[in-house]
Amino acid sequence: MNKKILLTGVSIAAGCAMLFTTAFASMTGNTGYEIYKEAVKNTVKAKSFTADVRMTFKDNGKVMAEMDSTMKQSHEERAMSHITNAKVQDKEVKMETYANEDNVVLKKGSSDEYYLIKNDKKDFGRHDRKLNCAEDPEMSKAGEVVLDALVGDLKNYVSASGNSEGGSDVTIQLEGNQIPAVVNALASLGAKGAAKDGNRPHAHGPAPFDENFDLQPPKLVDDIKITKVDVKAKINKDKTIESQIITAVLTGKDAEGKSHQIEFSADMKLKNVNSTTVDKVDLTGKQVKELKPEDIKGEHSR
Amino acid sequence: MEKVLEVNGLTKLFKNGRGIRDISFDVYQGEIFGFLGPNGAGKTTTMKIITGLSRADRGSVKIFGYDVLTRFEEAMRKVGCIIETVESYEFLSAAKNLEMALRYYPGLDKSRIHEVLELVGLDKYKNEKVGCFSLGMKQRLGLASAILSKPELVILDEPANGLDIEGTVDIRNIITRLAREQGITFFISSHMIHEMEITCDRIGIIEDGRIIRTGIVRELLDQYSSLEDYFITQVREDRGRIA
Amino acid sequence: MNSLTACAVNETERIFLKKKTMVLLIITMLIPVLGAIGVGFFQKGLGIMPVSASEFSVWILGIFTNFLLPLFIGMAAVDLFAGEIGDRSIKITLLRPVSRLGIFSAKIIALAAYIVVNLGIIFLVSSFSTFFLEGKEGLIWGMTKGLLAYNAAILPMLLIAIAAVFIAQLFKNSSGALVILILIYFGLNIVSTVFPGISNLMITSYTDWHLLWTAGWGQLGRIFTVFMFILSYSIIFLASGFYLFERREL
Repeated sequence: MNKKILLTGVSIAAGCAMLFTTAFASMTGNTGYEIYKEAVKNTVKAKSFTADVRMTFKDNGKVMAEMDSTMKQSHEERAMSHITNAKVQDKEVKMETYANEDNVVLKKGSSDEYYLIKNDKKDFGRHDRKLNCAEDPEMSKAGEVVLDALVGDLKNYVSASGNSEGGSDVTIQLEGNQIPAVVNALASLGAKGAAKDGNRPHAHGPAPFDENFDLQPPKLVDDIKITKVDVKAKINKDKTIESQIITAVLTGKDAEGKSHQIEFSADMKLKNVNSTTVDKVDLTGKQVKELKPEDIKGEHSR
Repeated sequence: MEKVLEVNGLTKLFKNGRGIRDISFDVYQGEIFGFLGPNGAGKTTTMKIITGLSRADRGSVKIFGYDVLTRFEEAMRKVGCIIETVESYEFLSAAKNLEMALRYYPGLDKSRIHEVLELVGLDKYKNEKVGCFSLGMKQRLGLASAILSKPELVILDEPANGLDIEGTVDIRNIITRLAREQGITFFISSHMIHEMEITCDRIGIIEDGRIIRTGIVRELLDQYSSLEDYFITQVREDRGRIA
Repeated sequence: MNSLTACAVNETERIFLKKKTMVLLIITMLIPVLGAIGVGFFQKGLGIMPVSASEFSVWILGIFTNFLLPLFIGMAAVDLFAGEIGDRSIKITLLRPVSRLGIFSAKIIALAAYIVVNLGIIFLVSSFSTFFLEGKEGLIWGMTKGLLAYNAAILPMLLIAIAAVFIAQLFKNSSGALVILILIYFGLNIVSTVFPGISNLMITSYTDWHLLWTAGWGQLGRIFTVFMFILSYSIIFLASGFYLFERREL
């Protein structure tokens, strides 16, 4: 009898020891999710940065649209500049945007004409305050709890490994069943709705840039599904994101029953963190046309 | 004669102060040993300890020489029993209940189920769910289940519980027949003195958690007019000694 | 048949001879069919495919392991322990020539068999339902992954059974035990959601372990960690559950 009690006790002790070891091993060393989350937070908090972003949109391997842009943003200066080269179905367009607290200046690459939007309502400033609000520690903490809960078990799919430069490489790979069915359903419905909208002719005010972005996505009607979401991020030793590639693949069939695999990818490289000076434009002696903020709003909120 | 069951100094006290104290007795091969005592005297408690359902504070139990605490499987291999109440799976048929029990005894085949059911007079109800059985039928099934394995020792706690006169006689006949014809050892407890007088070879009188006498029924009947007479004399004597 | 085998066969047979079990198994068969009809509606009616045919069986598995299967397992565990102790039918087994360790092991084996049968039924019915769905590209690969996932799902479900066995023995009445088990299950799930930092320690947080098995080599480390958690908890609950069972007096 005593032997049995002893054996039970030893088993429980061994089980507890194993449990503590495993728990300890799995808790020390941040999880991929924690590393990534911290890097995103740090990056958003940066005073200024320059980002080279390349976005591509492919349908069955054929490039439908490409966009290269250099984005400089500074919270200190409350300003940003944006130079974008886009190629949509063989049509190329270049666009420059300069914005500060008082106004936004737009320029289409091919012409010398500048468009000026006076920002009476200090829109840019308001946007900035919102950012500050997110930095309020209590608010952001509550937000994080909600985010963590929403992300749920997905955080298990974020893996991180240290790289030779003292930072870490984070990968998130979601495929098939790892993408929650509800999320997939909502995203697929959204994609379907977007494809329908794409069908409609654009009728956006004066929109000097609009026609050029008239991307004609394949109109998917059946079997629409997000098959893959991939994120590869490189985090430097200062725990900010250095580069990040996001790829999402959507599949489905159009009305003729032809299968489409639509791949969207965004490749972002971040540099000059906290040391970026936003490009400015001097409008003196230039051809300037003023636009009302209302005219541009639809475009802006896109 | 060979000892089949050896009980040595069993003591178990419950929180309410009741229980059994220093119970020792032996049961020999081939006899029908009766455990006689009023309700609450400690018969069931002793039997539960003997069959491993419960544990004693002190003392030991050996069945066929195996300690019931350390060598339970060997000790119980040739034992069949009913302790306190007969239990069956009510959602299963009588035959299915016995079929499950039979699996523990590799040497026996399914014809044994039919055999024991016939012996207790339940054969025609074998496919009925036990939940529909009367108390008497359940008691008979319990007996069938206890003798199913062709045991060498059968321990029965109040085997006539819930049976009418006819049933009581039936059970008594089955017990005596098995003992005479197959040499099975029985250890039976009951508060029914007359029943014990007819059935048992030897009895132990248990009162207030202690065994106060053991004796051979035939010899006792030579000295006393009945077992009842003997029982009352012994209990009075015992109480007088305590007082 | 030796006594452990005999006891394991009896315990398993008894689970499946209960009417309740049959009703639950029928529900288990219906859910993948209903799930396929639902997904089919999304596919045909809305043109979207949140779950493709090749992923369907693993998706259905997730629905079961989240709540239904733990509930069924809990019910079976409660019946085999609190239920039998409550109605004293445990005595039928205790008085046969089989040790308490044997009986305890046999009951765990029976619960494992119940889990495997449930998972097997879900796999078969959901694989069959697959033929009525769109998105059969990679179906064979999907089924292979499915088989892997279903096998992987046995362990976390078994842990739930083992933990339920321990908890069920603290009660003498089966409905009370079941209510407490369900409350504990939801309680642990809520704690995991509110404090994700310690969710690793919650025995209910391993129920979607099978998804890691379909997620490629990158998840190997995590699979191992969870396996160690399941193993440690299983040992602890098995030992403490057995202690309670061994000490039980009737």
